Amino acid sequence: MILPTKHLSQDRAILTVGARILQHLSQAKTISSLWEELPRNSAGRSDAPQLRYDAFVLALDLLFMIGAIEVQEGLLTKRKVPV
Amino acid sequence: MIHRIFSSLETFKGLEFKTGLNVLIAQKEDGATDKQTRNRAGKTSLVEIIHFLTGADAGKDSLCRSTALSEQTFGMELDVGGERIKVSRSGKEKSKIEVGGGSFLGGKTRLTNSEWVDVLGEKMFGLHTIEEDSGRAPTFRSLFAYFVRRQLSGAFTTPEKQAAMQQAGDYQVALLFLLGLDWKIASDWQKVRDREKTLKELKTAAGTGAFGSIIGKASDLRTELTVAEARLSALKAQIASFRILPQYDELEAEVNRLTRETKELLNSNTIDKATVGDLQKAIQSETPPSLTELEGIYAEAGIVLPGVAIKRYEEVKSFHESVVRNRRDYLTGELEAVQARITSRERTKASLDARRAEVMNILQSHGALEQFVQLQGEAGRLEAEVESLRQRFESAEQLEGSKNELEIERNRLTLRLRRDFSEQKDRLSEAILAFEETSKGLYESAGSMTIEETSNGPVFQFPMQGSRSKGIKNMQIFCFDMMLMRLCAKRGIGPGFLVHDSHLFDGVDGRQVISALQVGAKTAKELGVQYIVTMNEDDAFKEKIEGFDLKDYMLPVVLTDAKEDGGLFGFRF
Repeated sequence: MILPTKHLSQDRAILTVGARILQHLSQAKTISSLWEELPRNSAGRSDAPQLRYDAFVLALDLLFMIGAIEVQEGLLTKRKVPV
Repeated sequence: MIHRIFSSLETFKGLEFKTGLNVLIAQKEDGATDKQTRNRAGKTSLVEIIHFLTGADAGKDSLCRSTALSEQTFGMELDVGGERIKVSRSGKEKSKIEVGGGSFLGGKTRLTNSEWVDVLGEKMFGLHTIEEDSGRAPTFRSLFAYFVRRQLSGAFTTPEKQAAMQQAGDYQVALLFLLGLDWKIASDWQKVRDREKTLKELKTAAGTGAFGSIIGKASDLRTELTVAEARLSALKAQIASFRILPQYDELEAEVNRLTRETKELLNSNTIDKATVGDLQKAIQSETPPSLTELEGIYAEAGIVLPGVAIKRYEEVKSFHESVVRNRRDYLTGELEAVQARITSRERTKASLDARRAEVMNILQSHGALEQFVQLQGEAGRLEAEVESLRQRFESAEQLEGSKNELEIERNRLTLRLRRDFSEQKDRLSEAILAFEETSKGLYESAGSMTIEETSNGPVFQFPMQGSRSKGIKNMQIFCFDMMLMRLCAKRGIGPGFLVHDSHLFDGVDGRQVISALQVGAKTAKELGVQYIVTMNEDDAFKEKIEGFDLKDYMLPVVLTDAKEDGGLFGFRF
């Protein structure tokens, strides 16, 4: 699920979705505003399947799990990478 | 008049003629047996020689070309145009005529046969004054044959014909000319007859199919023409209302594009509608997705992302729960978004449909330039067909209508003839009286001649008692010829002689024979012309008339068939 497999395209792999989420998280955002801003279809391709909300949640879970994001007072932020 | 007839043949009995009546007798010798005959003595041959020397066609069967005579030259001295001319011709070189004397020949001694005929026609009948005419005109040969009737052509059947085969047009032209009437009417009549004949043949041809496919029946053609004309006018109307659209091709391309886009929109909508279904199902189920998925990811992360520090599961779980708290709101939002997309597509599709309908409408009411050109070509082809049909129809109608036209022409000619007859009443009565006078000299109840204006031209009739008898018919011919002679002499035309073969007197009562000869002699003397007759001796002397001795008119040469050398040629062949 995390990585693309034979039955899961790269676009829909959770890791890829997570990366896209990170790109849009240059500043702190609420979950809802992030969902609104995130382009629903990847790479501008109209025929590709839309990003589902459930998949979005799982991608956030993964990012949190690995410590890429954190929640502070209802806002999601990218975690600074320790130097 | 004829002065002399001679030949290079030594045994030929040269003949010399005087003015007035000349009688050539074929004698029955005392020594001749009953089986011998005066036939073949040369009486008819004399007539043949005269014709031969006046430009007759000398066919293979003609006397002067027979093997016995073809090497010989025959000659005649006669008056032409008041001058004495010597003419000779041989069967071997039948187209070369030797002439001598006559200032009008300009010193020429050799003429072709047709030149000779032209000279004779000019001098004897004044034919050179006849202007060129497309129809029949009197010719020397057709006129001359009335004065020297040939038994071989069947000249002794009816008075008005000099040959049994002579066509109505020919003798009508010749006789009207000789009587001094308007022969052009008869010529025009012949034109009508010729046209009728052609028309009849053409009609038969058209009827039997030889020309049927080319001309056809007027009634059929009228239908065909009407149908074709209607088709043409319909096509012309179509062309007149044709609107050319220069950008026809572009619009056609646009319609294709619109159709394709509409199809794409429909496809996208189908996919989105499925999503809507999924979302609605997800919203209806109150429970959020179980944590099993999260657990799966958590487990997987440890495996696929080694070396990455992973938070404790409890922390992740509480984060997850905080995120999914508003799941229902988000799902609803997503649903609305999808539905909005579908609605927007529907709108786009509707506008595309409208545009497509509009363009289609234009394409239907207008046409491309190529189409217009094609229609015009079709119209041109149809127009040519209509024109050809119209011409065929006109000729067919003309063909069917010519008959009436010719009937009208005949009636017109009848009127013209009647008018001519009433204008030339004196000439006509002169002819009738001349005939009657001669007839009176022969019979107690005189025969008469009538010339009737019929729809087939002038018809000559000779009502006479017992006119079915061969003898009386022959005497009608005699009277007719005398009449012609008299009229021509009065008008200063004609050959100046009349030759009657012994056949004319076949079956004629002896009293009439001698009366005829007496009348002939008297007439010839009165008119100053020559009358040459060939006779059998026993016919000639059957009866006698007071004050008329036939012996006075006999030629010194007498023919007989009792001996080998008794005939005209002096030998038998």
